[in-house]
Amino acid sequence: MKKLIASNKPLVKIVALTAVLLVVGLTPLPRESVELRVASKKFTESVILGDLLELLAESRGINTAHYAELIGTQTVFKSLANGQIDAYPEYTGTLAQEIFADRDIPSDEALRAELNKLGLKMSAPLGFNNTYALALTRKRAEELDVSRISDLRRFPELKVAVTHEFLDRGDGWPALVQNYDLPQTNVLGVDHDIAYRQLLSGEVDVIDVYTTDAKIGQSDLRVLEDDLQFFPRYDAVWLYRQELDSDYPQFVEAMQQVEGALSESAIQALNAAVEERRMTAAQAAGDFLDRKLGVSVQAVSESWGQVVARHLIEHLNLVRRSLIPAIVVGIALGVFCQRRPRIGSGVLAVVGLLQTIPSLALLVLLLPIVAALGYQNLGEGSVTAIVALFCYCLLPIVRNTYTGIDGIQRGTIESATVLGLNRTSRLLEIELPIALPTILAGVRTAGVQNVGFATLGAIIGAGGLGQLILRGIRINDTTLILAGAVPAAVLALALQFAIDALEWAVVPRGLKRGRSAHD
Amino acid sequence: MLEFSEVEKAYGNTTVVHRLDLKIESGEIAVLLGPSGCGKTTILRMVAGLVPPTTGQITVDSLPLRPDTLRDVRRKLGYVIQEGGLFPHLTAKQNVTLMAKHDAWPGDRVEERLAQLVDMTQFPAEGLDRYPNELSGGQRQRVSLMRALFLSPSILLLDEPLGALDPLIRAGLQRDLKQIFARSQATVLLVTHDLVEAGWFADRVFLIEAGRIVQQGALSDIVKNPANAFVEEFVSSQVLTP
Ligand SMILES: Nc1ncnc2c1ncn2[C@@H]1O[C@H](COP(=O)(O)OP(=O)(O)OP(=O)(O)O)[C@@H](O)[C@H]1O
Ligand SMILES: [Mg+2]
Repeated sequence: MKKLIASNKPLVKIVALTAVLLVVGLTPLPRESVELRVASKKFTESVILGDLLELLAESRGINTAHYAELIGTQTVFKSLANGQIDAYPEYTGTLAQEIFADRDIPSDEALRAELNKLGLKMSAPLGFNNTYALALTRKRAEELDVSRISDLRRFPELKVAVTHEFLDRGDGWPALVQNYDLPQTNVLGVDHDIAYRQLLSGEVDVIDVYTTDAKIGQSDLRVLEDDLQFFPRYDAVWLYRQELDSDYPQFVEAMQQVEGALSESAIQALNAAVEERRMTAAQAAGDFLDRKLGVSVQAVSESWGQVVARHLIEHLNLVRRSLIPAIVVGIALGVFCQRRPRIGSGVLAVVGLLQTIPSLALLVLLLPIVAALGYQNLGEGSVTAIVALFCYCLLPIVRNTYTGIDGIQRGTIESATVLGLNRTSRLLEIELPIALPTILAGVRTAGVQNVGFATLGAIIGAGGLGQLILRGIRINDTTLILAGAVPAAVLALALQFAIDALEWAVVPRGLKRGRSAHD
Repeated sequence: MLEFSEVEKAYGNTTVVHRLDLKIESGEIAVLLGPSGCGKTTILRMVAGLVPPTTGQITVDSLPLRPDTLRDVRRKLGYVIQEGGLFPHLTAKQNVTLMAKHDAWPGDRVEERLAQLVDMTQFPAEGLDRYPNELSGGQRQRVSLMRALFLSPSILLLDEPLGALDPLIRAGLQRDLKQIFARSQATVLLVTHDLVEAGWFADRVFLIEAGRIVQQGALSDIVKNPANAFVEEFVSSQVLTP
């Protein structure tokens, strides 16, 4: 018996270590119990509306989470359809043109019917129409006396600057020209911000805008009336799951309070408050509720330190839950590849391929799979983000485990064999320990990459330091970007340092570089 | 006792060991001598069960070497190779005592055996806690010997154990090794391509040419009466004639 234990000691140790790693790596953090989940897309207006939803729900005593700045209309809509979220702000035009592009949707009623089939409901319009429009400076518009798009026919010499997207879209500039029979030939495609600057400096006369752009009010522009009703309507609405009617009637009622209450100038002001005056979206939304609807809710106010700390913890959590399982699986796969070189080269190829999938694509590809398996897709602890990060971690660990073991001198392995070590003992006591420095180098590479990649988790609502970076990019705030990027860099360095320290502690002197035999 | 009967080894179409019939008695020191590539290592590796013979049977202490007896056969073997094959992540002492720990030897018995071997191999005791890369080549070979001898094998297989050492250290270790062989009482199968070394150790020398034993016996007989032109040339090439 004693003999049995003694000879199996390394096995017992490694099984225990693996178990500990898996428990540490897989255990989710206890989540705040959330009753309702709302979401928004990654532009300011959507985030403000999402915060509005969250505050409305909180004002009715419902514990709510807001997954802000998610990537892609399809992603957000599908998440609503499969119940990962309960409500989000959307535009009728987006639904008709993007979500139900394959169907003919002549009216809002038709749209409601389609949504109904999916178990979804749509509120009445909130009051503003966020669509494309053409705009001039008020001064120039008054000079020329234009107020409708048709008026432009009289001035073929006007210079036009529109966004590339608008210029290229089938239903954009070319169709507009045809529809209104516009004579302008001096048209260039530019970046949105540049178009504004050129308009204000007088280099161009007409640009395309979104009707709710914060800049319209501030820059004193005149938005031309779409007198032939060429542009589809993009009325803002709430989309929500049917069961909210019965489960949270007080929330549905609160959502209805906003219907018709958000005019174009009101939303422009909210957008401006966030983009120009650096209010948080939650503060802007709270202000609006307080002033316009008399709903007073306290938007949670956090200090800078608290904000960074919260995102740092989220980030660490993403790294922990992807890197640690990847270490266990990666080492196992590496050993397998070395033992079965033929299947192994296939495995290595697949693992290598995983890493070449662009991260955005991998996340979006994983979303439906994870959802179909019934795991949590969005938000903190998103399984999708964890699986994607896990995939990216694998290659360096698998490859280094493989080369670490494969590079051991034949004489060493054969000596172990002839001494009488069986395959398991040989692996655990000879091969893995000798390969350890190489394996740890793989873990270090994987870990440092992982900390960087984890910032991308924010685009599917997984939180982390990437959220600060995304928000900073959205409202063009360098401080915010740095508040996310600097801790991420420090975290990567700290992880590297920790692994170096671990290596120093566990790798025996005999395997350290820089020493040679003195014979 | 170590016996080969009709043992052949081929890699693909190339036969590297031809019909080997050979019996080495208990306690005998047999030396396989021959030029590079003649098959010496292959013969040793077959005994160690690292490569299977293509045909024929190897018997170790009346135990036939088969997949199912491999474990038991290896318990009777000690194996030392040119570069030592030491485990770089273990100290000299850990290298030497690894298998005893596996067999759950009590600590004092391990220390006792270690002391015996340190004495027998003339290994400097302060080197026991050093790692292989902190030892000289000669010291490494002594560690390798201690490791091979620890469980008192009845057969000791040595593949050019002194091949990588400089002449002075080599001479010292040759002297010690002969005493070690005598004290351990193991049957020894040693590979070398050095004529003088073969003569120094061997009870019987087996001269091999391209996978075949072409002459065997005491080295002096081989030198005096070479069996064929190859033996004559091999011998004369190693005895410098001005
Ligand atoms: N795995 C293998 N596959 C094919 N041929 C092999 C293999 N191993 C050894 N050989 C061949 O078998 C022959 C004998 O090799 P072996 O290593 O036994 O020679 P040796 O007498 O030990 O030579 P040296 O003195 O150089 O160590 C050589 O021609 C070698 O190329
Ligand atoms: Mg050889």
